[in-house]
Amino acid sequence: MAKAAWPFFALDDIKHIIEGCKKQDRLSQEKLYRQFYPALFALSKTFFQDKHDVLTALNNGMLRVYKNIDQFDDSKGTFFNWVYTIIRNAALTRVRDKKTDTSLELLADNLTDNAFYNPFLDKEWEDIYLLLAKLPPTTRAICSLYYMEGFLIKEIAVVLDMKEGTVKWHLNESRKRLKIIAQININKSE
Amino acid sequence: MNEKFLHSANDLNDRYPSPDIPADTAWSDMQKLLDEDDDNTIVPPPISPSGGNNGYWKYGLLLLLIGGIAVYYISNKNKIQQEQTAKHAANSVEQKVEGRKNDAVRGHDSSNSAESLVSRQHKIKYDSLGNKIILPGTISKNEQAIETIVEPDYSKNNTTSPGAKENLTFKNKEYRTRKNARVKINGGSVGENNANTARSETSRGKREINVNQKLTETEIVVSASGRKSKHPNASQSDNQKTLDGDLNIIAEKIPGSKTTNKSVEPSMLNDSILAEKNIKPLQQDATAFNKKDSIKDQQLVINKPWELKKDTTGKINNEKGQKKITWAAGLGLRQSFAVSSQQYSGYNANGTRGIIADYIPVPFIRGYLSKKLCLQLEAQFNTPQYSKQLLVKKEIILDSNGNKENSTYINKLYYFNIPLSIHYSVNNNFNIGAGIQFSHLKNAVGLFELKEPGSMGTKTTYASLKNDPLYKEIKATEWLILLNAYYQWKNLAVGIRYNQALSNFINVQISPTQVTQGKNSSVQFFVWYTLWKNKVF
Repeated sequence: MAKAAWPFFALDDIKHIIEGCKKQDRLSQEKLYRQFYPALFALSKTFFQDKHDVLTALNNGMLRVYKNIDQFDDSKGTFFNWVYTIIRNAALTRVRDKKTDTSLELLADNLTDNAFYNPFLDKEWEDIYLLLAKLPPTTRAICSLYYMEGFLIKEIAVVLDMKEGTVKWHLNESRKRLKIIAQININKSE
Repeated sequence: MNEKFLHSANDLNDRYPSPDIPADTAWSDMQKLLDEDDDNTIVPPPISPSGGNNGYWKYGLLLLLIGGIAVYYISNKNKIQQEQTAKHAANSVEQKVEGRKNDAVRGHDSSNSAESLVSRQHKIKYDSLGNKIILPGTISKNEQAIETIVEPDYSKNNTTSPGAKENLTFKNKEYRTRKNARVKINGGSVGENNANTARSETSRGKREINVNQKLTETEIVVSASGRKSKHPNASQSDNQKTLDGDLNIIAEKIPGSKTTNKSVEPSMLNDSILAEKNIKPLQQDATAFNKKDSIKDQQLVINKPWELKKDTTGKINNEKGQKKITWAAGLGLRQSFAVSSQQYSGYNANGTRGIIADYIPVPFIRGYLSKKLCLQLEAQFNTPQYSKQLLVKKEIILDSNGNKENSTYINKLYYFNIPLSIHYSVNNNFNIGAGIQFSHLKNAVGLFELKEPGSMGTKTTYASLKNDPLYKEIKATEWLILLNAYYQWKNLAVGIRYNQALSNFINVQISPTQVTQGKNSSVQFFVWYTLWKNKVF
């Protein structure tokens, strides 16, 4: 499922930009930013409803990219994937900072058959954003990580510093809500 | 590197929705963030052609040089003046004696001549009981009045050598003491004075000093003040005219001796005897008598005969004429303080709690160049040096769970220091000093910080950096300048010292935009105790 390479830059171009960024060349930094901006904004938006949070997470992540660009090793993966991972981690850091601590362990085992339902399957970005907008912030982040980023429940629990049962409850809650919304939309279309 | 789904649908690559915030607005926000980050980044200073350190070491050396010259000048000012005056006096004495010799050869009656200025080095003589008598040096023009009673005897021992001048004899001279003691030289009856009369008679060709005095004090200054004695008991006979000028005789009695009545043969007062008594500063005393401006009121008061053994520089001359330096040694304790943005640390060199080893006593040795100037050398073992929390290493480990950050900071450094300082005594107790210090790195304590994505806080541990590759990034040796001031009371000295390094002890590049640099400085409170000192002062 992993993306092999980012198609927007030719290989020479990206190397040139990376070298420029290493020298703190502001023009190279701008080129990189503008080129990746739509994809990274879309990524960040899956975690946050508020566009200010989206941009803050994105820019915090890009600052990390610029500061640590010398640590990028192209033998370990593509440059886009490296940037993408950093932005996602920055977004998760923000989610973690903003999350409200809820004790939902008792609900952890309260899973239903909805566990195998993917509400974002075959959805356009606009529809995905609309569905995510119906979810509370933490539930939204967990839903994005699980369905869109492919994280395991265990991984999400570690990333967001919560118990696996809590993650499962959020996922179950998101499926229930999104299923109802999807059903309403289907009924409307019929 | 976790790639996960990365927006799993590949066909979405070119169909990302238009961002809610325009790219221009987002980039301007990003630029602000970058600019703020630049302001917080330590930018490495340009390397100067002189080899770095921005030439601060030059200023330090210049400061030290100026300070050293000033201290040297102040401490030697009096000495230089005295030497110059003494030289001048010696020349003057030599010229006058030469003139008198010539007069004698020509048969000139010097006793009535205005040119017959009697010049001589004053002499310090001891009688058999140890009483010291100092015969003064130059007689100025004002002494014409006494020339009638002073008749130098050139008949013998009249050579051109300076030493021969001491063999000049005088007659009919009478010196009145404060205690109405008189010293008469070379015959003539001295009128009867009170019980404290001191009489010195010298017959022609045979120098003899007869002292008959009862001295109730250990010090008597016999001053021929140039005025006739105003003492009611003073005799006014013709041959008792007091000296009209600057003749002084100091008759000094060694403590314990109450009465003296001895005749001293010249052979007993020769230079060898004086040398045995280690009497050196004849030249200096002659200087005091030859100062023209102050001659009239000069009274050489010597109440500490042992002080004659040393000159004003504090150095003493041994029998062979070699100069000795006073030495002292002792131990000190110091307490360093965190200054500026340095952080206090309670960890020792091994990275564990307990800082008792930070207080190893500091041995020192001190050499007194003069009474006011001394050099001090110390050896400071295991000296703590507090530091700012300087980031020396940052490692970001990309992980599916988020970034792990490993950061290493410098917490504390340990040095072996050898400070060499020169101290100047401003007054009897207060001293200031400056110097230079060589430091060799012995250990370093690091603060290791681990930031894991799953946890909200950070884990911090302290450990010695000695076995860490980072240890090599810290400069092993460095030079510092030091300034100190202290108050000395007997053997105890309490003071404060400031150290400033001349170069950075760390200069590492953390990232392309971040460089860590640091320069050591410290403030120390110290206590010194002198355990041993060879007693000269």
